[in-house]
Amino acid sequence: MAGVREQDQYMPIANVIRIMRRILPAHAKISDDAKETIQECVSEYISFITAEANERCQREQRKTVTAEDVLWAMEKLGFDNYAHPLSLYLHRYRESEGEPASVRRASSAMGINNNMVHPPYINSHGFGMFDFDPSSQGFYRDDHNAASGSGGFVAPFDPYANIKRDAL
Amino acid sequence: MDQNKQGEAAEGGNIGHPAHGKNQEEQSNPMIAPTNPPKKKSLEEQLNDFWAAQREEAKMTTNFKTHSLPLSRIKKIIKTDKDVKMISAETPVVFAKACEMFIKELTIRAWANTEARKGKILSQRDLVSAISQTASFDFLDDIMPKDAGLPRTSIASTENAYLNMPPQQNVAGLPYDAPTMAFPNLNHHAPN
Repeated sequence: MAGVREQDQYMPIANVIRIMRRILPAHAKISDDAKETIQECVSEYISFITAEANERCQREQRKTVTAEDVLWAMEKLGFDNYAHPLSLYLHRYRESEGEPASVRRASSAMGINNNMVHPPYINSHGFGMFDFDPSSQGFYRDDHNAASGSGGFVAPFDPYANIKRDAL
Repeated sequence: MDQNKQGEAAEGGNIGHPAHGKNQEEQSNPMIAPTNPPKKKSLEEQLNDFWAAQREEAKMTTNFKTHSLPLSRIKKIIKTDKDVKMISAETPVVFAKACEMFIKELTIRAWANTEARKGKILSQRDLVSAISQTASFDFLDDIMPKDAGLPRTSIASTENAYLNMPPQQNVAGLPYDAPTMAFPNLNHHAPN
């Protein structure tokens, strides 16, 4: 196997060390074998979660592994502590990605304030499981977005086009 | 185990360090011990604080353009699983954040072990201990070396590692993960 492909199986060690140093005391040192071991652990973690997420996908006869599948897999595999902040993170990410003017205009036209409710296109993909009001501290899995109204949301540019393919 | 010295395999793609020399691990210093306990939070307290901080941090994130880990590399690792057909654009983004938390949690737990044995260098054995003590990390057991006191093969710089290693080889077996983590084939036949 070529060296390049081997390298690609792990996170870059500089990134890994930088993250470790942010959590360690300033005087701490990290041995070389520990650095390599962490690299291996991270790849194993990704593969472990991905396999579980993909299994769920296949059971539901979907082709695309989504962020929700990943969060679900983490809860199932004992990483509940991760799923909560990641759900918040994903929500914030979608808010930041939902910037195109067409989305903003469409939301305004529908009398929806983006700062108060979730953008309607989230509901149209059927991923309401992890949606919740950011102001609430609770974390729950119930779908609270059933009332999405008729017609749904259609935009000229859809940044989640690859997610839509789930419905096909 | 009594061994405190780790084999220092040469590291491919070494990043520059201001502190050039690598210190050998030191034996426990009894003069330090009495002052440690009063200042240290318990591991559980550290982790509770850590998770609370992660939730706050997730709420306040505004910059999604840069990630602490490269998305392209995450995609490649995800794709090592041949069963995975397609992934949404958000999936590597979520994994980047998840892996950052994973590295931090593992580091916190390992460092607690370093401190417990009065060491100053976070070593592989500290990781092995942390992993064995944490139920959610059971999936890592099979890729851990059986004896953490021995040096292990460097994936990033196989040839250099081989030249610097003692004659004895210690390659961890991979009974379950062979499809996703292929170790390079060294001159000696690796145990399966």
